[in-house]
Amino acid sequence: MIKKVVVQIDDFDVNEETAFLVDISKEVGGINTFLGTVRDVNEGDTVTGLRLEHYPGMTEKQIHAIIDRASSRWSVLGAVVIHRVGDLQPGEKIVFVGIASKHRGDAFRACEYVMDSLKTEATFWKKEVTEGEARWLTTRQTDVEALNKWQVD
Amino acid sequence: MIKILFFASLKEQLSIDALDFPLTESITVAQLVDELVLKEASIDRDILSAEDILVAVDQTVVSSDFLVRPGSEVAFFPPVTGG
Repeated sequence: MIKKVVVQIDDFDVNEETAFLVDISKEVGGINTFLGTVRDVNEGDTVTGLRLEHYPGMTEKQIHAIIDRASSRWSVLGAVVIHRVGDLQPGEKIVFVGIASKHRGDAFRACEYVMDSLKTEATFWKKEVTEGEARWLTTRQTDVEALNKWQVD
Repeated sequence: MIKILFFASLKEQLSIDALDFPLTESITVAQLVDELVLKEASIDRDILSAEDILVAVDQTVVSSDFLVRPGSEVAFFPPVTGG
């Protein structure tokens, strides 16, 4: 399996990352990608910006571990995770997850699993700037439930 | 010596992002918190030991009875909100 994990301030090119997954191997038959962007309204308030902080070193280590877990459950030929940090504006890209597999089922499921795991495990913190104030976001219960659905009985 | 890091809201509440703390023998995370509160003026017990605060030793999340060895990197942070 080929892994690409990057935490960066700069924007990224979705086409470039998808092409990277296509080029991994002729065995690839399905690629599923997810792109997360900054919403302009959250909890009823207008969002003017987002500041993302992370724990350098630990974050990358965790993302590699998440991909490895996905790969142990589904057939994964390649995985790309790019997460931005720093100051972001509404409409900007935050996160990209791309999974290349032989068949679409594995790609769909592994991609969702990696994304759900990222949300509740990887050491990123968001501070939201609304009109007049800045607030640290707290974990959403729906994100915890999203990860719990992957637990093996 | 160990390196201690604080992130996100915790860093802001304590007004400190990192400190070097002398440690010559292994102690638990809970004991380390006691030591920090005792010896570092900037560390407030109520803030550092709030229920939702997580602790990582050498970049792995651990529980309060985990043994911290000299030379370790210890990080305190609130629940994560990435993605």
